[in-house]
Amino acid sequence: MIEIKGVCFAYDDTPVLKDINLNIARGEWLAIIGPNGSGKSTLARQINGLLLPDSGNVFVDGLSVLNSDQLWQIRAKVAFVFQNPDNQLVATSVEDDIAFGPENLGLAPELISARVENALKITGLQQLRNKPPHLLSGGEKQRVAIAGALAMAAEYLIMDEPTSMLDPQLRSQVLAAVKQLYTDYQMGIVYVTNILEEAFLADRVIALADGAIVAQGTPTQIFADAGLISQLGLELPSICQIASLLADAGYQQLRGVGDIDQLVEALCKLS
Amino acid sequence: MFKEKLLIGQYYPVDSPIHRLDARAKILASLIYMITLFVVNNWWGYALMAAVFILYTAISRLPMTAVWRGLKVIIYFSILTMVFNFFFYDQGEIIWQYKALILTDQGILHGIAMGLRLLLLVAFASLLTLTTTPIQLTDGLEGLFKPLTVIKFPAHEIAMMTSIALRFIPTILEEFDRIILAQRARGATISQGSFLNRVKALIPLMVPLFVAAFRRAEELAQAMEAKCYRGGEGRSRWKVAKWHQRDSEYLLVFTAIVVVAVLLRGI
Amino acid sequence: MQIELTKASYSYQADSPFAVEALHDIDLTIDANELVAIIGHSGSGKSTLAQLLAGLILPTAGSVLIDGAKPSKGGVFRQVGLVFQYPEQQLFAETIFEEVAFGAKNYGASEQELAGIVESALTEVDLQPQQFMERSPFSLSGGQKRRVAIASILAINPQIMILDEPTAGLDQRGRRWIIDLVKRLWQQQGKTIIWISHNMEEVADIAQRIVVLSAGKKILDGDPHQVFAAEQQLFTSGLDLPQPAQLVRRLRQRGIPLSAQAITAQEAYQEIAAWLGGGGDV
Repeated sequence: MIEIKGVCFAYDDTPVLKDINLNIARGEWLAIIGPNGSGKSTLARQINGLLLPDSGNVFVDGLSVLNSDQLWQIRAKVAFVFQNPDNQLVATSVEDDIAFGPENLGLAPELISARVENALKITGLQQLRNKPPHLLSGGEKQRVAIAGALAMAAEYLIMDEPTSMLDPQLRSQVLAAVKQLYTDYQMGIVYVTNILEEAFLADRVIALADGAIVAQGTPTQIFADAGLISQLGLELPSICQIASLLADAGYQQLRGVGDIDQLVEALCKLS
Repeated sequence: MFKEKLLIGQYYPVDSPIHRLDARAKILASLIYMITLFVVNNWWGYALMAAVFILYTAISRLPMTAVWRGLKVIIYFSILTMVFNFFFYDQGEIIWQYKALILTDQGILHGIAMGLRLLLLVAFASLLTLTTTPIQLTDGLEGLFKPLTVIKFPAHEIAMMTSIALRFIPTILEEFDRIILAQRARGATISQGSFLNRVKALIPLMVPLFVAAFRRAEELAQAMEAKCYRGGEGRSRWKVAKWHQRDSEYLLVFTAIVVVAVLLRGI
Repeated sequence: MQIELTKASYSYQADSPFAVEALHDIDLTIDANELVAIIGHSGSGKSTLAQLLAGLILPTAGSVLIDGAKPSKGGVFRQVGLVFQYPEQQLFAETIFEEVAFGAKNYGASEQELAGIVESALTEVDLQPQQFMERSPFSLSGGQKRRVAIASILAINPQIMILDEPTAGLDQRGRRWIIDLVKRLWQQQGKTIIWISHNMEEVADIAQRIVVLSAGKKILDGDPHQVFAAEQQLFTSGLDLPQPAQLVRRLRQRGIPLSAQAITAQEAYQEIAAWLGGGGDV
């Protein structure tokens, strides 16, 4: 369980997070949405103590980020995938990069081997194991970062706009890898994005504006509120827009539908 | 483009007895080879060293093209060294003279020897990087420097920095190519005008390059911290290089070469 | 002003065993005041094409003619402006004024002219000149930096503007703003716009014409409705139709009588609403 309790944070006197309270369970997929500058990335960085709260506290399975010994235990539990695929790979080959985290944990070489193999297999990167990072596509780099999280045997995975620099095609590869960690390994996922299609995959969505939580609920609940979305400076996915236009025209049952299959089924029933 | 010019000496992945050797052994052997080059004082010695180089290349199963690409650049330097030595060696019988320039018979031999020495030196060093992955190389250096940590020598930090540099060089070169094009799209020219103007013209290239490098460094530091990196302490190594008997044998062979080279001095 | 590519190819590291052909035999003519979108995956060659169209690189085979002439070595930056992907990464000057003035200075605009040029370029990108001119570009937010970078190209006032993924990394507000700016440049100032994108939905709305690249080849070229009708070719290149178009196709497959024309959310809504209103039981 991740518990964010009354967290406030400011960059040089500019408040970025204002009294955030939020719990995230293991096995839950939480999406954090909000416009640029709303504090999403800052919030994500509080969870593994890359940034520490000015007031309030963050606990991960009872460990506090404010305790410097416990902080390292937290980072072993909570993996982080950053926005820029280029600047988070350390080593000169894929497999060595995946091994970097386990090495830092001081694990025995045999155990590292097993974890690296497993992570390569799950993310489908075996073929690329000896490649240097600069010869990988953006999507592959992000999958290497995800494999690194797996190799650390992390229980939570925080992703800070991991697909915003990728093509749609590569984006779906990354999302597929995340889905697998969520369903097969019951990892807790915190997924920061302003691409709302991606937020549909979550169990729960929280919307952030000016450093405060302004709404939370299931994706369908959140995306049914077209006013909220445009007030946030975000745009509904086009399927959701069509559903919402039809709902405005009197077909209320379509409100908040964001999945193409669901909309097709719902419309076929209407005919 | 910059990226393309800097591929010399890059690791060439084939399986060979040399590739399988411990990086520490290879680094030490290269050192021994280089020192021996300075011990050698006659043609027999150079012939021996050249023979070692050729044999080494053959055993390492590197295609000649890969080795040649590395040599091409250095050949110009070797020739330059050779010519330089021709004219600045004043012992022996003068063959030709023009004002202060003297060419002697011994000078020619000395020049050829110097050129050859430089060529073999760099060629052998490039064999080290061609047969050893960057990570093995940095690990090997770290291993060799380890005894020095007693006197607070930062062996791990140096190895980590080297490895990160190797990781980011291609990325940053790519970035530099893009910045050059982007500033050209804004009408920047870099190869015109006085020296001062040319230096000024570098600002639009260098500032974005450094800004980007700092941003990368910051993000990378965060990523490393997020993966529990806190220096060498408490850290284990995945691929711990094991010193095999073959590594000792290999070093023994190189020691033998030194002995032979020293003996050849007397001829 | 026109750009004309005839059988243009481009290889990286040409004349070496490592040559990689990024573009192959591209025939493409872009006329004055068109709004063309070029779409394709990363690696399809679209950024290389942008550089070729801007005369920054020369084709390794075939020809590129800009306004009827081969691009000169000094470049054609006064005629064709190229806004690179993440253009904010090219900022370097001490003040926003200098940053925006850089290109205009390079073609020799006088000091008096510069003041006016910078002012109108900043106004165009919705940054109050008096408020911003003396500030450092590095003190701005990400979105503002991008506007300054775009202003620095606008200050050169090229007749043709190429924008390589101009909305990448922006949120919806930022995206809207870019789209509005581009429409303004196209409609009010009569500029030719070439918009490079990987996002089908984004360009379905605004482009008059879409060129699709796949693996360095031009595979489709036409108005959005034509291009999105060529479903098979798009699929084989791994490109998806815009979601609204997919929805309409799926509904047609289920026997719902819609025309296959809709490509934007608005169009799809109208089709479906018309069908529901006509035959539905509301």
